[in-house]
Amino acid sequence: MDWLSMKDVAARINALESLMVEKGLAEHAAVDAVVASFENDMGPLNGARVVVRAWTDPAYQAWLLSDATAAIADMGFTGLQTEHLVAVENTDDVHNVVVCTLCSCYPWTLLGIPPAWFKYPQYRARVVKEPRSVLGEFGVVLGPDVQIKVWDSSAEIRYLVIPQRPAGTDGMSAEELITLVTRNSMVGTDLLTSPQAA
Amino acid sequence: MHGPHDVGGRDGLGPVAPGFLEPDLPNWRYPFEGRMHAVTAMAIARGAFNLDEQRHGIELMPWADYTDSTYYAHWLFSVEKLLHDKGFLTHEEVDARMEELGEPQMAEHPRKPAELSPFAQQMIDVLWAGTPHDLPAQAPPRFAVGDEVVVKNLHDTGHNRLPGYLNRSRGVVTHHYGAHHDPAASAHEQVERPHHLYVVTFAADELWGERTSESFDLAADLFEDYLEPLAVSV
Repeated sequence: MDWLSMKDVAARINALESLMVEKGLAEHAAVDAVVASFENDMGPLNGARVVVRAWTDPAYQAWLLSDATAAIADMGFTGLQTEHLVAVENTDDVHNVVVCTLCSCYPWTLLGIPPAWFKYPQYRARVVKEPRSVLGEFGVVLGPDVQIKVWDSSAEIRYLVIPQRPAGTDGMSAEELITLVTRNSMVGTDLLTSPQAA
Repeated sequence: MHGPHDVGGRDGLGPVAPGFLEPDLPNWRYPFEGRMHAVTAMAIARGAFNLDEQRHGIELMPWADYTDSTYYAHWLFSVEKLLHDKGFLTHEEVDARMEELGEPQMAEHPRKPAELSPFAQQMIDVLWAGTPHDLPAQAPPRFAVGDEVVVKNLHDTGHNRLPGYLNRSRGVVTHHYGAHHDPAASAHEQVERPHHLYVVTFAADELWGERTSESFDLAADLFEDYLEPLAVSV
């Protein structure tokens, strides 16, 4: 087995699925259903809905910051890898960024499957040692006075970054605001810009 | 264990791959990735192994293989090893089936079937219910918010969730989450043992030395037995 060959890995996963179905551990159609759920129903749109509700409803914002697990349950977003959620808020003074140095822990129901950069060693190794430099690779440049806080999610707590609401969005509807919230901003590797500036 | 997965703070890995920064890059770039993810979730739901065993299986991958292979190759390695070791199937069976099936034809972005089997429905329910990890504590917590602690110098060869770069570092307890199930007991004994879990916050220069180029705080979620009180000189 060549672990480095994508072709071999694909063929071996196919063989494994086939055997697991035979042994009663999996069903092909259920695999389709799970993959489709991950691809279509879980994803950053859910996280964006949470963020925008926090931006527009101070009581919800306070609830999210004090008990994010309950606050997302209220929106139907509890699930695998969001059983225990903490929301951390970016402000003028503090910028939060999340990593899992040991594997790839990520709030699936809110943000979907983690992107490649989150799972591969470059980000995981370096963001705990030189976060400003790593953020620069994402185009995120913070003022010298902004305090960076890196969260290494080394247990079963998952973290959601609440990005700052961009200036000049006061008149926007919730649906319009949702389109501004990027996946990376909810991990801490993006800053949101107002639509005029974009 | 501080295996190949424990990459926090390692040097020489280079920048985040520019190709990975494309905003429209799908999170599953190949159909086999989603299928590997799904069969793993199913094996866990069927009770073949648990999440901590699956993580430990990845940690046991040989260094060179782990470093050079893709993410879902790690999952494949771990799941196949677990199913083999627990007697559900053998490596030889996978070899033979691979030979027999040849190059796979996997649908890109499969659709959810109109009718779900009971097992498919059970899996969707698991996705949207989750499996909580907290447990009632069996002992009072040893630490409180504000306590100064030091991470023990731990080099267990089994599964734990202590990033190696935190060994022997001094920090402050900034939150107590109550008790969660202990990952080592789960991985090695398949039991749920409550273990107090804390957020410990560290200063960058404590972790990386006084010559570190950046100033920031790092918070990690650490179990009680990874920590001891910072000795106070009288």
